[in-house]
Amino acid sequence: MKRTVLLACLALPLVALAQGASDQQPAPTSLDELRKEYERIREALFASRARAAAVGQALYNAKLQIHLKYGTPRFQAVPRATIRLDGAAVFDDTTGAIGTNETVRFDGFVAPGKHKVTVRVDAEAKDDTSFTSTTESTFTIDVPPRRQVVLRATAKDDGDMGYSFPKSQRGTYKLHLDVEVESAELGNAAKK
Amino acid sequence: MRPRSSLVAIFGTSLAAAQPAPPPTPAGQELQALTRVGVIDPKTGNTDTLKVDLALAERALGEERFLEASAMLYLIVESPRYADFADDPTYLNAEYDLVVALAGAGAGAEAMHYVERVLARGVRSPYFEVAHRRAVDIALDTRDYAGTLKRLEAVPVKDPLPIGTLSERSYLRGRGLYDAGNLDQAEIELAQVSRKSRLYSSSVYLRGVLRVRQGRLKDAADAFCEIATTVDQDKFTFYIDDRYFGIKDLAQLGAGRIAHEEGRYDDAYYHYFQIPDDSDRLPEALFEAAWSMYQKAELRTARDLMKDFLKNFPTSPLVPEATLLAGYIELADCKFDEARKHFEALAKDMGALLVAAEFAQGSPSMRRTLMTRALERVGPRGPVAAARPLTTDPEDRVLAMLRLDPRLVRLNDTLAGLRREASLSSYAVTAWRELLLRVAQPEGQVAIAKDAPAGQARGATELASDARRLREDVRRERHALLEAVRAKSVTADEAALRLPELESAEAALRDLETQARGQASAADQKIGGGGDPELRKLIAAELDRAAKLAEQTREVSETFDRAADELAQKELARVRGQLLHVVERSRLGRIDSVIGEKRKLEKEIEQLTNDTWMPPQIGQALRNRLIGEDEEYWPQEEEIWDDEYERFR
Repeated sequence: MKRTVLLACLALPLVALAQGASDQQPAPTSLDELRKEYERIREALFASRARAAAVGQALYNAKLQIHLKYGTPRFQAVPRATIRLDGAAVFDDTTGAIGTNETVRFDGFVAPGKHKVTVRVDAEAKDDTSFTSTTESTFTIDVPPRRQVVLRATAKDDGDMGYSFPKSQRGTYKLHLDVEVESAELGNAAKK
Repeated sequence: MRPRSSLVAIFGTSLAAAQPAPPPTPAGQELQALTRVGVIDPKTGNTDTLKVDLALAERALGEERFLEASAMLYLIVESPRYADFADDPTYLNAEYDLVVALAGAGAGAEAMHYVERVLARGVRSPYFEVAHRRAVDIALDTRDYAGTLKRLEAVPVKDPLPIGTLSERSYLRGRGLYDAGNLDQAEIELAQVSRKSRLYSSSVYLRGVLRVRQGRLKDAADAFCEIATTVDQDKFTFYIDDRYFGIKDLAQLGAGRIAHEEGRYDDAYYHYFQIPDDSDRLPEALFEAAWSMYQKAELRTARDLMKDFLKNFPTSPLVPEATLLAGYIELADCKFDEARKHFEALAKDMGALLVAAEFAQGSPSMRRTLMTRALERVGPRGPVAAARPLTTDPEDRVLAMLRLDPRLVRLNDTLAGLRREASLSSYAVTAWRELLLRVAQPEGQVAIAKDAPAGQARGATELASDARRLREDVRRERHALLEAVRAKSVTADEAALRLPELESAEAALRDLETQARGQASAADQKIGGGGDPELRKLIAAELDRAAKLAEQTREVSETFDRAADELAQKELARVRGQLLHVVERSRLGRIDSVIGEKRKLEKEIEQLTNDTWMPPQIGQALRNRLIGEDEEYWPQEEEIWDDEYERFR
């Protein structure tokens, strides 16, 4: 009896590690099969996007870079942020990244000309997560040939709803999205 | 053809004859087609542009923008523009970076293709060992030890392999054999891992575990002690990241458990005591140390450890067992009243947990919520910081007791990655569609509006993408609703009204997405022709493949939920069984405490009758020979006057 307990105790924590051995009772094999299937689809999707980006880089001579940050991360969390380019999502984040870092959200070669960009940000007050807001804005930009367009968007909510309303039954939402677009000569290095 | 190509062609003839050239990758085919139609000029590549392109790619890689990095690196390693620089160190660097970018994005199989390319250059190539290590990391991530090893061994290498590489291959072989249950052979392979290898401590630990499985406890203890006793600053203590400390803690626990099993309780206590305060394993170490001390009849120490455990880890899944042990410690110390109180409190506590577990067993939506929260809590190494902390509510304590199958956890991680990819899949389709139009119209604006089928296809893809997004919103609302029911901010009746609406909305959105994707595919077939036929064919095939992949991602959430629910049912049944067992043991403990108390009173009555009764403190002092029979005992509390330490200044 004690030996069984020992074996179980030894085996359980092991699996928690990346290199740990799997000594659990046999789980349905479908779990492993399912994972392989998911990995296959995920990999094929990524490779397809990467190849499309590579071919696009060779074919197009206009580049678009999109930055998005959240201006008031101290007061609101961002459960989801999405950027769509001509209706197709190019950035979709559920980790609150736009409130924590300023990494480029999209960087790729696009067909020169007009493009429709949509930015959607779902936010929730940190004081009371039941106070949520969604702001979605769509606008058109022009990406001229042989130019790089840098779009910097900042979403923020200067309101105090989550903090103030539960205390004083008064509060505000001040949601807005600021967008700055700048075009520059495309560096030769970035082009074939 | 430039001189370097000619040289490569002349000297490479014999090798090429022996080893047929691998077929070009899809990216290679596309870039070659673009070169043929004049989009890529192969003469524009030189070492300067190569360095600049690599610098840009490495910047993206440094920021973990794997997609951009991969695209830029494809344009180096697959483009005819740099074909003549295939032996340049910068090119080799790009090849290795592509492995890193693809592996970072989870594209392990694609990354392996480039690993093979790097390895085929031979042991003397500067990236041979690092690329090999990346391949081993891919194998560890995907658990495909045998498959990866086979691919690595299939790469012909003339020179002898470095010790590090041989060690990593032995480890992979050992892991594969261990999983297959061939423990003897696994041990032989794992013993080949060099002390200088980054996988040395993992291999020793695994050897310890397999020896336990074989019943060779002494040998297992030797393995665990080898890791546990290595000083962190030892020259052989080579660790890559904090996983090393996890292994070390596990080894200490393993050594402690073996000592406990063999009745060496002081040794067990020593090993448990080595677990540092910041370790995830501290609750287990405290609980098991208390157990060892209880077995050794060091009841005071056992009691202190239990108090520490229950005070510091009230949400630990070990709390029911620990409370039971706390009762048994009091029982062993003849403190029957305290023991009875412990057992009564435990029975009451278990009642609430049983109700919560049985409710979850009977409610699919509650099971789903529980599993979602349990999976949210599990990070690669222990609970994640972002997850809501556990409380002492019965639901949370049942949640803490759920043991998640590691395969489900890995599946959930893969699903998270797949969901991220799936949310961006519509862009892949749109991008290939626009590229298809671009092939027909090489100059100027790619105007989808001018091509009616392309416009229709884009509209339908957009609609499908919106439907998918809304479907995810519906799923999130359902999850939030169930959480609100759990938090009692929404009544179950209100939720019962809303849930069917959400279910039907999700079904309607799924139908809409299917229709929209069908329309998009139909419209794609009608997109106007033009441009180079071969390039067009390649891109049309990519568009078709991207659309099919996007279609395949739709049902993965449902299949995952079904698998997770099956496991949740089994796990809840196990938790319920465990709770019932604890309740049963607490009942027995309570009976023991009542019998013990009765027996104690009987003895006291007997002593009173014989006129041999004495107060317990005096009896204890006499037994310990602290006072003689002719001495008078003054209780200690009377020696300290109340005001002795008050206002003494």
